[in-house]
Amino acid sequence: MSAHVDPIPREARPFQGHRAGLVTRTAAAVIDFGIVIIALGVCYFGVSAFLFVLDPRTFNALPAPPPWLLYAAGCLLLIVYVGVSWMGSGRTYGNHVMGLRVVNRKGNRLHPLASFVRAALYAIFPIGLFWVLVSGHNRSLQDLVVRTSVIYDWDVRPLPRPPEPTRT
Amino acid sequence: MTEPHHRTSSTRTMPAAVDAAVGVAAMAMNATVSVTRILARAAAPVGRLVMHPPILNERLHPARVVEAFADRGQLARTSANADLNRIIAAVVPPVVDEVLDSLDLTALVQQRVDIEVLVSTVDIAAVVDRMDIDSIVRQVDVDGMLRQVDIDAIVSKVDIDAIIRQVDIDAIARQVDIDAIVSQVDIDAIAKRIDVDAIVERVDIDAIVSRIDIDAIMERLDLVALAEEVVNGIDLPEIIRESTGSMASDVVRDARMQGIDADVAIARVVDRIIRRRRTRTTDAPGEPESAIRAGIPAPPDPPKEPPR
Repeated sequence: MSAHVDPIPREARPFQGHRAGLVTRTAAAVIDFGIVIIALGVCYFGVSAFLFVLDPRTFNALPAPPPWLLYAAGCLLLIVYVGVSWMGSGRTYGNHVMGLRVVNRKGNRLHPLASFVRAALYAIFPIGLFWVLVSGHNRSLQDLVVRTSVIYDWDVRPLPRPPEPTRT
Repeated sequence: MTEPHHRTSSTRTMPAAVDAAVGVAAMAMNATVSVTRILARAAAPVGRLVMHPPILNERLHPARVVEAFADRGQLARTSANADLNRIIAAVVPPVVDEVLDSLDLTALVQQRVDIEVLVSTVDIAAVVDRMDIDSIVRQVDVDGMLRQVDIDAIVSKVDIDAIIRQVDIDAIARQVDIDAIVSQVDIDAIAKRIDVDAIVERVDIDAIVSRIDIDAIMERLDLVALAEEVVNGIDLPEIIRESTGSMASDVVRDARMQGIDADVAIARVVDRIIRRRRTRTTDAPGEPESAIRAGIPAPPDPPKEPPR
């Protein structure tokens, strides 16, 4: 047996494991959205630099991509970013900052398919997050579809892998 | 033991002729007495007839004359006895004193009196029964006797060790009702009279501690559980954060707590607006890793108000 010192402040311990509300989840989403914007800009400048390197003589100015392309690229980045994050540690950077974690209906890490489906639903219909306000269980529409929960979990360590189903 | 009054011929102190004469005289006396008795019985009717002749008036009987002489003789004898008593009273005491002075009575008693036979004839029990012990005891001056007793000298001669060796302490202890004794003892009063400080000053704490097996005590202690209890009690994480925490971690923590507070507040407002009757159920399946590692049970009901 080893002693464990709970690093979580005493006033926050009663909330651990409970579904988060709209403000915390929106703040995390804003942070993630900013990260996606930054990543999109980086990608833009990266592509521009790549084009400049390919033919510097014909490179007159930065390219002006159409809006749908930016939206599609942004959605793609968002889906990949949050999907991989939820599939791995169960939290994006925005979730990490706000002390949140996404778990499945059993409290474990999300299956990759569920993780990407949830990410796609958020990219397509982000306003579904506001269902948290009227939900009696603090669940968004995406949570209801994929049967997930966003909980307060200030611990920085990742969730353990779900146990493998035993074959009989 | 030979009896002193039985004398044999070899121990005679008087001449044999004298004894023979005395013996003859005694025999003659006995014979005379016997003859006289016979003659008196034979002459008794004659004597009565002589002393009381029927032909004479009773006042002229010789018996009257004899009685008159007898009265006279008695008077003379009693007066002679009185004179004799006076003579004896005057003469005998000095004579007896002289005789006693000339005799060694102690030696004579020791030689001629068998004390044991004499004592054996005495009924001690009867003597004791006739004695008034109570009156004797009342007359005894016990205090005076005690004042004359040297207690120290008596005690110094007593072999206490020998007495103690003969005492069966276990048997005595078994008969003692310890509970009854203890129930009569005022423990509080005794405790108030005890000078605990003086006792503690006389105790050698170092010697006591040196005899304690610290290792055995430590083996019986669950130090891990004890440490966890202490850490939870003093909120060690808060101390660590205050001493080593960075500004960024404080900002993140404050942001998280403010987010939680805002979540709770907004949920309460919305529930009031939409008139939700049932409380929100925010408990998620499973337990967060933080709660699992810390062994903290999840709260039974969702927190309605921030605990701050």
